[in-house]
Amino acid sequence: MEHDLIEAYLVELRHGLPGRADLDDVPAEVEDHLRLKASRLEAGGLDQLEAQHRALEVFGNPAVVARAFIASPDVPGAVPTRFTKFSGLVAIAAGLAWINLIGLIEFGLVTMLVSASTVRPFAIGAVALTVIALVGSVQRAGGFRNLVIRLVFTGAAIFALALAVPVWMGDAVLVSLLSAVSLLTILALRGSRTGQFGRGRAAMVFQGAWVPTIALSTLIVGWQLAVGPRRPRLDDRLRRSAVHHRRSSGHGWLEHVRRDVRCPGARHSSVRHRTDPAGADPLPRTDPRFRRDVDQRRRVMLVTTGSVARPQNRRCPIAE
Amino acid sequence: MKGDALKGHLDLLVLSVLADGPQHGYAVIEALRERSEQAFDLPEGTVYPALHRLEKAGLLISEWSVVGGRRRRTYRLTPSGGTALADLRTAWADFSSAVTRVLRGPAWNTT
Repeated sequence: MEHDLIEAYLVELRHGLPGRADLDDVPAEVEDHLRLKASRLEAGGLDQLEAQHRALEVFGNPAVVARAFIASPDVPGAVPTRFTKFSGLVAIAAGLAWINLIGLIEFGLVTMLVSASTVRPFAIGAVALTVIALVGSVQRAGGFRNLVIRLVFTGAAIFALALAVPVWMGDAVLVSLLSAVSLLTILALRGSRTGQFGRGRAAMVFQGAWVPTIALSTLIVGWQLAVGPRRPRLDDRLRRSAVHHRRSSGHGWLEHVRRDVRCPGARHSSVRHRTDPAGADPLPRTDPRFRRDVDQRRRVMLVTTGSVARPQNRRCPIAE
Repeated sequence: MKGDALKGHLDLLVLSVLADGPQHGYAVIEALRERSEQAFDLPEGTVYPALHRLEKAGLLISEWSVVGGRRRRTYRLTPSGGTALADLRTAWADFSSAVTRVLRGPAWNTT
């Protein structure tokens, strides 16, 4: 087919779903729907292009649909649960345990009054608490659904605990231990996309660099797990992107798709502002067509999330 | 009827349609439209996120097949979904009858 509107629509939809685990599945499912719909419309007498146009029209703005998918997280475990909150408290306890352990070792090295047998329970306790906290982190990030991550996590946790048992806390053991914990951390934070959790990522990765930072970073992550955001935030990149803004708030989104099909090279240069379908001046906010678009997006949020979220990207930083 | 009116009821409607047997997304949307006698006017693209959300909640399960060279995802109700549907139906019946009673106005005083 010369002009495949559905293909162009799927490209737009894919742009709106950055980094999702089901990035291949969503467009495949949508494509099946759109082609089925278009074929039935064709059977009803429409020509191929018009049938695709109608199918896309009733399916909705790709940016709006993508946002609806984003509002429903793609990773089953990537939401706060009672356990992840509990693991946050455990992480705070782990942070305090690490502070005590470091103090105990420093005190013992100076005074020679503390033996390895005294340090051992503290070390085992700190590592055990850290591992529990990391289990919560992995679950919060939804990593446990992946079998490889589960296996690696289990192996790393056993390794960390095995290192802690014959504790004499020499540098090599400590570095190995911290490496294992850092590995768990990277796995735990893989795929996370919430704002506060993103800051925790930096803190946790930082912990592998220097011994005293493990306490601080564990405390930070514990705080985030225990009292972090209740719902994953919308993808910041999507929220801030002027390109996505233009695509999502422009009234003539379908026209953009058609234009992109006709002139693929002009995808990012053909429309710089929110414009009417004729490509003339930006639509004023009082224009009923602009109002309709906002209403449509609000309706989508109501139906899919059950909440009245303020439509994102309502203002256009470029046009204003 | 606009999508706003469906707020909070889309789960019940989707589960109810899928209670009749496994269906893919397009068939679910068509069933919603036909059963409502064209009353429900909602963007079709909004139904898929709802299906995904219900699947993640464990109320639906999906499987992929290849039909006509395209991948197709078919959803069906899980036992948990059946239980949830029963609960939602009961809640809707209570809500509906309460609204009906309010709209009907006060009963005639027969004394």
